[in-house]
Amino acid sequence: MSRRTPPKGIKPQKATPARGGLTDLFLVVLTVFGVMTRTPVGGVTLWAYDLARGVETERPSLIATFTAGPSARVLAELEAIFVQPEAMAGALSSAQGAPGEGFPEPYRTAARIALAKGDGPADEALRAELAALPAEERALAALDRLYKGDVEEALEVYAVGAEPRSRAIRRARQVGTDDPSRYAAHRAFLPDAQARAARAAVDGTMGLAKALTLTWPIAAPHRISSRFGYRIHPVLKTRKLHNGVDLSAPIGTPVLAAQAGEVEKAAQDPLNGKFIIVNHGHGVRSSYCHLDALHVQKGDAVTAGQVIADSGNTGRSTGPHLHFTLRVGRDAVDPERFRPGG
Amino acid sequence: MDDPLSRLDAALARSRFAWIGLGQLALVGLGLHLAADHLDDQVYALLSALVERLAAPLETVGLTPSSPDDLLEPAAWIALALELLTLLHAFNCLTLTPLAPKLSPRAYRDALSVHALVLPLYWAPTALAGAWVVGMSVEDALAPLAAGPARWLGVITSLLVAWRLGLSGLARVVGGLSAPKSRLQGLLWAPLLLTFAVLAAWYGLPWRGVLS
Repeated sequence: MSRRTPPKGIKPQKATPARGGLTDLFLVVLTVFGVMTRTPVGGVTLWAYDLARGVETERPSLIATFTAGPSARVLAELEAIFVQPEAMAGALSSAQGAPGEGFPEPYRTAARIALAKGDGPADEALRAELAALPAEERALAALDRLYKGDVEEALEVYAVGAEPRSRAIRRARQVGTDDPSRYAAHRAFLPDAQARAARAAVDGTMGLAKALTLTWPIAAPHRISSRFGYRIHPVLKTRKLHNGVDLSAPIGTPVLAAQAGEVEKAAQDPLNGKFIIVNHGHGVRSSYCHLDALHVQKGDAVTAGQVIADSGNTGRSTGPHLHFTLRVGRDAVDPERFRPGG
Repeated sequence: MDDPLSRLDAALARSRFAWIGLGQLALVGLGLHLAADHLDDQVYALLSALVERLAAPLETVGLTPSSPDDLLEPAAWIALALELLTLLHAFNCLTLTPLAPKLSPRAYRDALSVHALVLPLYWAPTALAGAWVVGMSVEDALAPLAAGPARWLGVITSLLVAWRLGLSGLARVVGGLSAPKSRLQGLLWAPLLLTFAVLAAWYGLPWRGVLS
């Protein structure tokens, strides 16, 4: 049989070979496996297959693969509350008792944030408008039922949805993390964008909640000798951000832990003198500088209001005082904004 | 082209018509179930609002209204029924079409109807949501071994599945549209299909984290 040769200068054309069969089959198998393990149709198919093989297995519930998430209405109500901080601030100021009382979490926290941001204040019309809304009670009842009071879970689901949270928990469990359903235990397994959203909602809210329930570090009468903000440094004579408040107090005045937490550092340096840093969790830290005597050491657990040191005049200081700093996330914030009754 | 793997690849490619439909349907099935898992929440909200509204009239005639917890299961059953109905619709769309019909704007214009408008709007997001589920399953399975690469493999798998099964399925059902008896054909299905489409698009794809 003679082979036909193409005319000179023209390359012979090859028929395009059929390709991609293996890839497609692999993808089909993956997808069908997903259906078998994740959907009611798959569950019933596997059960029928077992029956056909003569293997007795319990018939799966057709609705077993439906997860009970927060209803759309609850989420909508939560959303309405979270995006209207001024309305919650209004509710808060119209509630009986101290700020925040009468409103359970996470609404109390949301309201406190609104107040801390200065988004308040409520006028009479706003209060009346809020009073006419029955949404809070309905949302609360549903949340109680769904989350059994786990505020972190509610906030996380609010921020990223139930599915990414479940996946992160599953992965934390796979690597043997203790108590993987806790936010702190599984947050490292959230995808980046969702981790950021969860951090903003959970750490942001809970952190501010901690900051807003501070114990003031000096109980004895005292004056504030220097406030938070830009000032001319008394020693260096340069314009500098004063990242805390200076509480004028005689040497030996008891210094109290502003919140429960763990002592992260108890040390001394030429600038701060003897100082303590307490980590309160959720990105909140407080520090106490120019101390005279330290009563705790690194790693100690402290309770809110516990005496942790005596104030002093150590380090770069112009007189006896406590330099008190509060950090929420990365930023130093004005502690006076969070002063109880302040 | 002569090695056994290439020959197997080619043989599978030539027999693609026999099995690719299963993957295309399974993909939409995954997206549909993901949407149905959120549809039950919506149904629950509707039922509980209805019961709340009817509570007073029911009590006046001596009937005790259901508690909200009793409504969770009926809501899931309703969502399941709607999911299966929609899956049957997808099956119908796939089986009535050839494997790789010719796509042309003119053919689509000739076939234009409510069904022709809704079909791609519903197929695309459910297939994409299904592809995302497959990709995330791959990521979940591999994450304990190597979390970083697993994330990328998951995304790559999602894209591959969306392209090879999702896009081919979409082209198949849209290309297979025939001239309708009436332009209003598919009007009854449209609300259900679009509901699933919206839920799949909103909950099935990672918008929430990305947008926030």
